[in-house]
Amino acid sequence: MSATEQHIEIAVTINGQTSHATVPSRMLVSDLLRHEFGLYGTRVGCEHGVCGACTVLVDGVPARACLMLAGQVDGATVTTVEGLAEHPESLTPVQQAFHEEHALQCGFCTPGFLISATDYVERLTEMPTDEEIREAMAGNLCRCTGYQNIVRAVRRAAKQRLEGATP
Amino acid sequence: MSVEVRARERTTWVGARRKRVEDRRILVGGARYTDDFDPPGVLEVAFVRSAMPHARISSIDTSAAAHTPGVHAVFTGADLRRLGFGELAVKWIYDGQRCLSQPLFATDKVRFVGEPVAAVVAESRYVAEDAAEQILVDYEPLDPVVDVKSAIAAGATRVFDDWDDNVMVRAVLGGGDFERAAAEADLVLREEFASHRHTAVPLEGRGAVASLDALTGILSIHTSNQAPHRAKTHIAEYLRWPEHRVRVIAPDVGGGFGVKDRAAVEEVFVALAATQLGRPVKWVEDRREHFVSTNHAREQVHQVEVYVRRDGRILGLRDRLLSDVGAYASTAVGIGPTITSADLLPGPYDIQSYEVELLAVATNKVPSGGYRGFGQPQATFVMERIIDRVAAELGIDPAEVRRRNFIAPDAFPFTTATQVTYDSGDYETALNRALELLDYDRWRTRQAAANNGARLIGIGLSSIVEMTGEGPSPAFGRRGSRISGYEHASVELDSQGCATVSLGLSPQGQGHQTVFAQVCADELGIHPERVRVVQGDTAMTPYAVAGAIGSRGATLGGAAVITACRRLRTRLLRMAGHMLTASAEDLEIVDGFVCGRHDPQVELDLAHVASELLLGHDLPEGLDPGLVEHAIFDPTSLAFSFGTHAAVVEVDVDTGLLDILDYVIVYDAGRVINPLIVEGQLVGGLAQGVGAALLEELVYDADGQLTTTTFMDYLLPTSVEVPSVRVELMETPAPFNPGGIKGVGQGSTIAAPAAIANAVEDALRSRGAVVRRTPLSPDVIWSLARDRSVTPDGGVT
Repeated sequence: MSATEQHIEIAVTINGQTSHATVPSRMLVSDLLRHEFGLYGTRVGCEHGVCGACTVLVDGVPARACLMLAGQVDGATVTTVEGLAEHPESLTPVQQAFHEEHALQCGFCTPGFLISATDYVERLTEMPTDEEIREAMAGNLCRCTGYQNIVRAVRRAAKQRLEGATP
Repeated sequence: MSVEVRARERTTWVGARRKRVEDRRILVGGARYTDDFDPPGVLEVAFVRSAMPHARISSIDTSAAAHTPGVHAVFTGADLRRLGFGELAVKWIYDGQRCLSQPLFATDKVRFVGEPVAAVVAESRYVAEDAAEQILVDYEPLDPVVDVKSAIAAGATRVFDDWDDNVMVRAVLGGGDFERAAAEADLVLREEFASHRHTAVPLEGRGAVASLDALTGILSIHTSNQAPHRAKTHIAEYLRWPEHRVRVIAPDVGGGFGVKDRAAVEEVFVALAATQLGRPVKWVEDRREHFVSTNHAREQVHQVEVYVRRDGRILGLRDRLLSDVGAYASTAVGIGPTITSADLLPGPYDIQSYEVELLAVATNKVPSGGYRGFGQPQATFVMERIIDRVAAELGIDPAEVRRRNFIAPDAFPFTTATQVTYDSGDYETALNRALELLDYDRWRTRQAAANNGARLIGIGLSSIVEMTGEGPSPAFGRRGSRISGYEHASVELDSQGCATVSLGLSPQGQGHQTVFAQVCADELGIHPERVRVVQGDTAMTPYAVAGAIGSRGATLGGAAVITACRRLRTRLLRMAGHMLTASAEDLEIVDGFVCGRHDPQVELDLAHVASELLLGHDLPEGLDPGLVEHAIFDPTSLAFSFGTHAAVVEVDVDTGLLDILDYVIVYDAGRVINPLIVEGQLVGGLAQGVGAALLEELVYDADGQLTTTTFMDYLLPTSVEVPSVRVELMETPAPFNPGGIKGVGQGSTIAAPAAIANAVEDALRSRGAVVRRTPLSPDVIWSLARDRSVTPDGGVT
């Protein structure tokens, strides 16, 4: 980074691990995750907060990493797609449901959908209708699948969480 | 002692609903797209792009930018010229075409908002953008040419000073006996239909990371691309380097849909900069750049004259096609989509007399190029609107008008008035099945019942053909394109009987690794888990220049894999015959074992045969050692997929809002390798068709500024707008393909806008509405509901 830039120091817990970094104060969280910490799973699709590909959990709440500055996650806990499954060999029920239902094609939007869907499914208290799932997923754009299989995947994961049904 | 030996059971993998092998990496965040490559010491590029649609450049002052800390270099067109580099050649030049190249950077004048004027290479994108803002470009504004009709008017401002008008290409295609058509016609329909400007908008934009290895002299370029071999050829050609010193890697690619069919001026510049600076250089476009530089598509006006008999039979069709190409012909496909629109306008219909005069016109807008459907969605919109207008004028059911005009199932191969040969089809069966699945009669009854309220129901059909697997190679040559029609695959077996399949073709999410493993598994008699598919790296795959465009992956890639596997199987069976002292004709490979066709006692592990053939210690007479086979498959014919979309919409006449109540797709893409993936293509393509019909539009104001450069202005459909849809597949095998496979990538994007437009007009017909253009946004629908016909220019008459 250029010598004239202002830098800040931050400490952030990402996927359970606390990291320190000195970065330009204008750095976006999406760039921080990707290019400082090598967590490339968070995708950048628009950099203006619409497409949802960069969605991560900040202190347990879905947030657009492209609309936040690095300083805003100082002291925070961040979960990215890399942190969803406990082990690299295992998939969470939501990830597994996306596989079963062919809910991804090019995969660029998938991490954002997984974060949104995971948060949504975890907060459910009763089985949603397809219309409700569609509303809940409308903050993420997908250009490949036409959404039908994403809706099915979310429904499958929701059913599994609420009814303990095995996929 | 006797042992009962049961014959091994053959599993057929082609046709199986296999889940994708690609998914796991993606689901855990482990996929790697172009921007995920950060080689040590990488520098980043920010382009200075024209803010003017049309202006002379009087001066460019880069001094402040060049002295900004962190900046390594600044380039303008003049700098490139000093280094001996010219413009990027257009690789598809139609007869008589003007516009044969595009500059990397504008030098004398700018021709669209977004055209690169200069570039800064700096230690980060942040710094590069700061410095780019310091570059001062002095413009002398010229009148912008924004509209295709005014562009061809006498005395129009010229986009290119050395042309006498703005026409890039004028051509007349087709022909027929129009005197007879006129004499026999009971109805002559004259209409103007228009498709608006919109484009692919993959979620991942374009980008490239280029690194020159100083020791080997090899330039490696990771780039988000649909055709890495083509990009390699064109970058090497531009740099005047041998191709073996250029390696192009298309890693995971976040969607392409046509707009990543080449190394465009930006990617070529990144390659050039890496060779000049001796440091890795990266450029990843942001979304605004994407809208103002990645190719646009679709903008056409059609003025048609249709000769129709009282029974609905179309006797003749004349079209005048005005295509708004933008500032340059696509460097990859020239004006190919315009030609394809003209060639394929009659779609599935037998129209003996069809003639089109096309004008491909330069304007001061982003250059247009390929986008999923490649000219066919525009053609389908016109043709399917014609069918419904004919039906309305004559009071015949629109499904019946389609039936009366379809090419008959026994007429194939069928050659159209524009000399395109369709290989096979059964259009009426697809239409009838779609009507059945939709329960057409029940919806017609409901429609009649709902006809008086504020919410009106409409039913729209769209019957289409999809040109897939384009070839043979000489056909590209005859149309002026510098690409080939073949696909190239190699298959190699290892000592354990596991296969590696490599293809020149590369994927952007289509599931190639899954489907080509299925194809190979059937041909070699092994489990698909024993097949690895390698793609996307020119250093590791055989050469094929065309890439994943025009629904050619499964059909031609699949055919190449089948052909290579069959050659390898022949060698394996000869070897096995030698080892078993049997005739190769009596053997087959089943489930990883060479087995006797008639004698279940005969069995040999394929791995054993493979390792012996690799060693070559004891071979039958005339058989060379080794376990690799290549195949180049150049199709003898196009493969036309086909089908019908049926949509039911409900229109609120007070608000102009529209709901899609039901949607059915019946589609035939020949033999289906994997229905999961085929259905995924059909539903995904539908979403883009819904976007095209209702939401997405690249809007230029009268001053030539693009006003839709964010996702808040350019509306992609979300999960709420795309309807749930029922899909049913038919299988009419492609007769000229060894696997019977046709392509499927474009069909839904071709069909959907017309189905929705027909449904909207159907809903509003009692109010006198005629749908003449897309998108059908709420204000347009509201106007249509007030008996004000919306003209192709978007104005309300």
